[in-house]
Amino acid sequence: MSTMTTPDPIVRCVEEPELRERRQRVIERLERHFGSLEDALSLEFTGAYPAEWLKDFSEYHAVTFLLSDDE
Amino acid sequence: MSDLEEQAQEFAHLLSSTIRLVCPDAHPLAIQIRKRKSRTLATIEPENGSAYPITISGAHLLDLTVSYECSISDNHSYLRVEESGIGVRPHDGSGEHLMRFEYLHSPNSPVPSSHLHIHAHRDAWTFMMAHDGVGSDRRDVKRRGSNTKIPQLSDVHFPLGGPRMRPTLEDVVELLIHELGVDHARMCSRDSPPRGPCGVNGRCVPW
Repeated sequence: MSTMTTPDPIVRCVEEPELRERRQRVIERLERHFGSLEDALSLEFTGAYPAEWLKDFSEYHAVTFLLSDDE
Repeated sequence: MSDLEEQAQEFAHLLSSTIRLVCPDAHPLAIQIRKRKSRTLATIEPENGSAYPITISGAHLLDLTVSYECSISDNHSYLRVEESGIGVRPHDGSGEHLMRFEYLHSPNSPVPSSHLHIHAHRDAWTFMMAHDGVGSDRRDVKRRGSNTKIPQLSDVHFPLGGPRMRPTLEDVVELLIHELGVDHARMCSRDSPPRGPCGVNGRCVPW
């Protein structure tokens, strides 16, 4: 009987300039998809959009959190 | 390796072990770390920001979404979860979640720290929520009556406990196994997901 192995997590250190650039890019994508960032966030959990756009919400929340001490 | 990096890796390992009970080929979790002077932040999410496929009788019917935002600071040397979200969505393209378990260590509005959103519909809830909830300190609740958006049961934050007593990923996986009968690795003791390191002697039995 084999043992289930768990892959090592991928670890990456990120800095402010990269995060700001990523935040800008993901906001542009969300605005393109939904019209505005506010509209995008209000529709996040409705599922009224293609599944592949879910990644943009993950990216938006991640970079916003990682930049939260800079705001 | 920093304290946060080490603790985040250990935590991500535990999360991966739990996810692999119901998604044996789950891709690794990705940790992003931002170091600051007095506080270091980390996010733990699926590598490509997508969801984990969950099957019932071999059919891919559900997706599991998982995200954690953590910190370590001069005030606390342990990894603290600042926010987390565990969601279950149908995989049929409709996309709306079935349920979301969320945790906010420091909510910035009057919502319970640990709460559940149920995505469902019932006319009685819609009726109650069509009125201005003037007794609430939340602006969105106070103005519900004049909102053009149809009230949703999923807008309600059902409280689940506080920082020290809240459902974990293991609880959600257990719910999926016992309430929906999702396919899973055979578990070790009394058919319950592991608490902490996975299974007997740290091992899980594959499908």
